[in-house]
Amino acid sequence: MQATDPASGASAVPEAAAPAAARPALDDLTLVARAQDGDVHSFAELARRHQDALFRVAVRVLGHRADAEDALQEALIDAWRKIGTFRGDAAFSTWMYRIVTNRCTALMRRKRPTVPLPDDDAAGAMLVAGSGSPERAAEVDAELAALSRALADLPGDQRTCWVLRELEGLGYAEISHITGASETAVRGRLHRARTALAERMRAWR
Amino acid sequence: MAVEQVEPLACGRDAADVWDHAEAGTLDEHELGCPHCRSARADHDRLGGLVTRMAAEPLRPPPSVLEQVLGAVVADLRPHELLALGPDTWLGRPTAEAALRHVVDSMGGLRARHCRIEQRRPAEPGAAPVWVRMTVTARFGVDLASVTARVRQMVISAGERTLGVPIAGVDIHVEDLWDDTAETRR
Amino acid sequence: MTTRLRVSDLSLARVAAYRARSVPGVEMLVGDVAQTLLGLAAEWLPREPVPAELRSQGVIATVHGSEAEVRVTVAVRFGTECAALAARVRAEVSEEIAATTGLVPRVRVTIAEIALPD
Repeated sequence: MQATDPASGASAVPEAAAPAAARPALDDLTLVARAQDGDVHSFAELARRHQDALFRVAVRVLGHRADAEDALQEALIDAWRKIGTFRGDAAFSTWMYRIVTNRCTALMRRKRPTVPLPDDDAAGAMLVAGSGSPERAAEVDAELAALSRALADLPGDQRTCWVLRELEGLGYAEISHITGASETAVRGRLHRARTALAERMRAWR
Repeated sequence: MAVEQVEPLACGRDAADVWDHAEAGTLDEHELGCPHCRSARADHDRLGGLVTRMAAEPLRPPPSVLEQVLGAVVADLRPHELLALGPDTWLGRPTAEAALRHVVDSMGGLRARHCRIEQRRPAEPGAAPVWVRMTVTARFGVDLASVTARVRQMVISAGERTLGVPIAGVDIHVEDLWDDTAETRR
Repeated sequence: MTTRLRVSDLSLARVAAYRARSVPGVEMLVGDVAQTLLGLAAEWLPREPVPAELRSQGVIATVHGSEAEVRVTVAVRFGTECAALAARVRAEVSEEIAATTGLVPRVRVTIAEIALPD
């Protein structure tokens, strides 16, 4: 440990380190490189940066907060374990979106709820996926709740494309990278999703 | 059955394009006037504000997600392999399961096969109760009802005292029986 | 007139490891040489070579300004009261960090291994 004591007569050594707030943030690629070397803290910083976006996608695609939390956890640890395979040919965010989307797809295939899922977290719980399930919308906005229900009724691949485009604002090329579907397929799914949702909301009024 | 191409509108335009143009504010003269294009635009308008509201909804993961991921990283486990013992304290699930199997093995007449500990996501940081499901094999002649009851008691006691997690329930499933005298031990 | 004390991640880790190891019931600290390095924040401290023996000591530590973030992974013997032990390690390591370095501690403890009798 290093200590500077002004009483010793030595001139006060100015802090060599900038205060935490003034330190420039490291870019993703630098953090990835360090994480690839095994630096847990760089990985933690990457996770902190990207987790909100990844969580949003998981919640909207899965329709259930607790499932989304599980998907996010598993996606983050997958990212840690295979961080060595990230080559930098796509953005790190794209790479992460792909991991979480794949997790969501796998989860949707495994669970096909025909009975309502028990809802543990009352506060802030989102809609439970699957028809006939009790809804727990945290927001009072009934119209938004109706859209959520309509979204939950879309086929998984349409819902995924829709969420990535409409809620995350991603371009067709990026969505194609993330889902592994061609841009044409992405356009088609997106269009079908939009039309179906518009139809449902037309009927809702 | 997936038809990936978007069917053209009656006027020949691509409905997906019309939608994207409506979104970007780049509708051309035809799209603005044509009645076929108009219905595609109407669909877009109907959803527009609503989608913006949905996109603006704050959705944040709880801090426990990252906690558990990093806890798993440093202990070289998967996040679902951590049991919460209390605030900022964790126990590896595989090792806890091995400990409970050991408890069963040390009782006469029983061998543990599988042990599965499940913990619901805790509401606040801290220990949430766990369910223990065990499959065991027993020696022929043993009073299954009483031995199962004893095992259940021992597992609860071990879980609560030694591991330090509240036990919500214990399921013991006797899967098979073995005989000391014959070569039936697997 | 204040004395400014600057603590490196490495020093923090040594403090934490020393105290954690001394808690009765802690069999050893658990680490994986390949997977874990001390998180050295090279952008504000000179890069210090991490001694091999510290890499495998099951402690990951970082200083953020006036806060100390520490993760300790331990192994215990069967029969140890795990929840109580983990809480004790957490409390004692926190206490040691606060007293020795003056930093505000955030300590997380994982029991990764319960060693069974042979």
